[in-house]
Amino acid sequence: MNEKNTPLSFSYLVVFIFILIIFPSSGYALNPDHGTCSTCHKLHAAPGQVLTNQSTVEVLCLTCHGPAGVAVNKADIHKNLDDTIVAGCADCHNAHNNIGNSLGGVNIKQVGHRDGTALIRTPNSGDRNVIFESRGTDDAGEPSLHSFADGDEDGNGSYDGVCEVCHSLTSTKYHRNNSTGGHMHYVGETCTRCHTHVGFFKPAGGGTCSGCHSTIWDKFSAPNNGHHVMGGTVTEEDCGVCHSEPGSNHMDGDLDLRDPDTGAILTFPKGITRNTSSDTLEADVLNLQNNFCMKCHDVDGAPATFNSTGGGTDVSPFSSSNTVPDTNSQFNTSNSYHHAVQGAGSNTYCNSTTMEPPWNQGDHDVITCFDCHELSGHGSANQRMLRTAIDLDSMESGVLSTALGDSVETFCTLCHKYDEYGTTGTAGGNSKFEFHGTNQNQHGSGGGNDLGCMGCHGGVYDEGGISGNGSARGNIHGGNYSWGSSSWANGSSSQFFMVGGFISGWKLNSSAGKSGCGGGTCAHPGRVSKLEPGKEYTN
Amino acid sequence: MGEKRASEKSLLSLFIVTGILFLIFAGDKITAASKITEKIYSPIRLTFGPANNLLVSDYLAKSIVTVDRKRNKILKRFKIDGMPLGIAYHKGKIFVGNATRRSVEVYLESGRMKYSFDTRVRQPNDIVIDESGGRVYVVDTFDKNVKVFSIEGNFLFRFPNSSTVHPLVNPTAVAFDKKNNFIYVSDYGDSARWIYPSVRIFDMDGNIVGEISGKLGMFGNRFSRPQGLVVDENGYVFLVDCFSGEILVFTGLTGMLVKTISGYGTEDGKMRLPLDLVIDPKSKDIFVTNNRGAKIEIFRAGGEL
Repeated sequence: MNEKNTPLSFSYLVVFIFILIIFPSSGYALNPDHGTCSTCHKLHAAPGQVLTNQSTVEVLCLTCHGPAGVAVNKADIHKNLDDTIVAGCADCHNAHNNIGNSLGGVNIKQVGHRDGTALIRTPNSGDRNVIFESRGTDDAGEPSLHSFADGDEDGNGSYDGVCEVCHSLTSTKYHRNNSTGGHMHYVGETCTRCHTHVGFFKPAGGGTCSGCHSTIWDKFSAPNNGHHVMGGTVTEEDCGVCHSEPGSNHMDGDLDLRDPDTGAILTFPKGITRNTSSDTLEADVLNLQNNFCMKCHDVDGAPATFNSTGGGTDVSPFSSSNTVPDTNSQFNTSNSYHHAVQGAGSNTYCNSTTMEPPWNQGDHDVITCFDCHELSGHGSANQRMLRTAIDLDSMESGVLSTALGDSVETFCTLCHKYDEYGTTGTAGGNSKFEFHGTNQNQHGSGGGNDLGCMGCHGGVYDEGGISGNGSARGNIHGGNYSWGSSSWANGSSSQFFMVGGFISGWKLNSSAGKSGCGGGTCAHPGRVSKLEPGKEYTN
Repeated sequence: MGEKRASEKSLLSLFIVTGILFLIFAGDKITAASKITEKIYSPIRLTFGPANNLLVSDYLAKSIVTVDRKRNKILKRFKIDGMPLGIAYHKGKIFVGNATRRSVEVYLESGRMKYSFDTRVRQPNDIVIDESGGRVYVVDTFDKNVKVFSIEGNFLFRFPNSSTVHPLVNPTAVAFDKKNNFIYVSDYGDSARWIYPSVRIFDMDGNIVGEISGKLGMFGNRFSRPQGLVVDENGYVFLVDCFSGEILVFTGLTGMLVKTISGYGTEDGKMRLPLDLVIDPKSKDIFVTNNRGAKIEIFRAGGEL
């Protein structure tokens, strides 16, 4: 039960003084993080020939800096790609303490060794001064001067950064210790973000996507609850379902995706954006949508990116168990209702009067996925990566609220004019349904409709007791639902996305030139009973 | 005549010395009869899994490897999203400490993740399960404590708590003593504060009941970097020292060193940075993750005392 042992004994003091007498020029002040001499030196029973010799330094360091060690900073030795040049810990570090460099400063992280001035004995360039006074800030760019690979930023004719000091061979493409080769490779980034210390300093985060792309990786988990890999945890293999990297095209400045059907590389410029204020649909956006998104979101999924390692299938290519929604079929222009992605819509009531510009038909009769969804394949805080948030998960589980109805109305009126369709809209009367806008009589979210627009249109919620009203998830893209013959709608094909969560049927009232609905749970006078088809409520 | 007598004396002396040396070191002469090297890049912890095969956490490969013990070959592996450290197995479920995600995750044998624990574990270095008590003990090296969960992953408590007079300093690994219902925790100590490495012994509620000190005499250490450990059915503690490459065997609470196996080196039977071990209760074979050797060392009947 020796919790705390005897303070520094006299014997230790004698040994310490003895060492100082023998090695006065070393002048080592022991780095406090490394404890005492006995932290590393085993006086009488070291595995090596002397205290700790070169053959055991690697293991000695890794007892703490290895995966299971107690040090916060994890590390491993340096290897080049084919393992022909290996540098051990002591080739770059002096474990005893930081020492001064040739510019008069003091290196950090105990970089450099030799007495007096910080040097590194390089594989091919002899002993060279090494300067490492700053490691910068990982995410905000770094003050690159005197850090990992600053080229000759201080103009003293020396390439002396801790990474570049050894690199001289032409097989090293970037940041050599002379002016040849490239010195613009990720300038301003911290080298060890991608060439990690635990991954032998090899590129690409030790060979993993998440090693470098941790910010994107985080988009696949909370609080980003809208992302592509749903129902599971994203894996490294999942990245390869969509991306063609890594390969020779990695880090070439382009976004390289994989054709879901053929496996061919699809190259796009980085930073594609959709300008939802513009009449013009961007060519890159359409290319991405039609040749990438829609080729996966179709009936056969992604046969060319079959994720066998992660356990995926053609229609469930990620490691999660969710199936790819076939939106391509839903958008088919032959469907009785569809949003206008593959071609112009058939709803003549969506016109310059009822739609917000630029979706006011005449100029903009076709839309893209990214008019409703964010242009991000990774994820966002909004469920289903919608442009504005709707808590569709709560809706689907039957947890309804005024706020939910409001959020639906906010989303839909991005394109559909609020003045025509919103709760307090004043125009109205220009749509098929006379109770849009003015005189809504509880059809808007502000009037008690907790599903908002989705009480009647599309939706993911089926009010209990209304069987088969077609309000399955994704039907807001488009569909061909027909009401059953026993319903009040009597087998008629639904139009205008009239498959909402509250209704049990809908049909055109041709005599009035307007429409009527089966009412569902909306049992107000003039509507048709869901329980007794053909009978109208009278009160 | 005199020369002959001198020669006989020399032979006798040599015989006696050899005999003494044999008696001293006979118990330690255990060499690794075989090893498992196939595609294990950075073995950290290991445990017995389905069909009594070995489950090994492979840190750099970000995967869990199943080793077929009959053929000493890799049976399969599955990737996890992060770098695995601690590993334990219980009724078809594989409990993995994910160092990247700082969590304990539970996988089915197929590799599908079932659920993760409800409380963050920043460096889940080692995991042991008290099957009868339904508790999961996880060493969090970063937080310098042991976190205790239910099998379902609900946090129960941690030890030592802030009021204990015997805190853990730099804990690395954990073992369960079925015989005495004790929890053993390896601890590097802190030489800067003159706290020696040790194995701390706790009861099931986290109260300290004993210690095996790494200190030996005025200067020496019996061990300096204690890592994985196992307590056998007789209460003997098998501990790996990842610096010396040794497996040390102690009597439990009394802390007497009774045996040393292996040591530092690259030759057969020697190890560089061994991190964990398990002992087959029937054959007494010891299996050790030899990290820098990138292999599993097997010491046939090494657990026999």
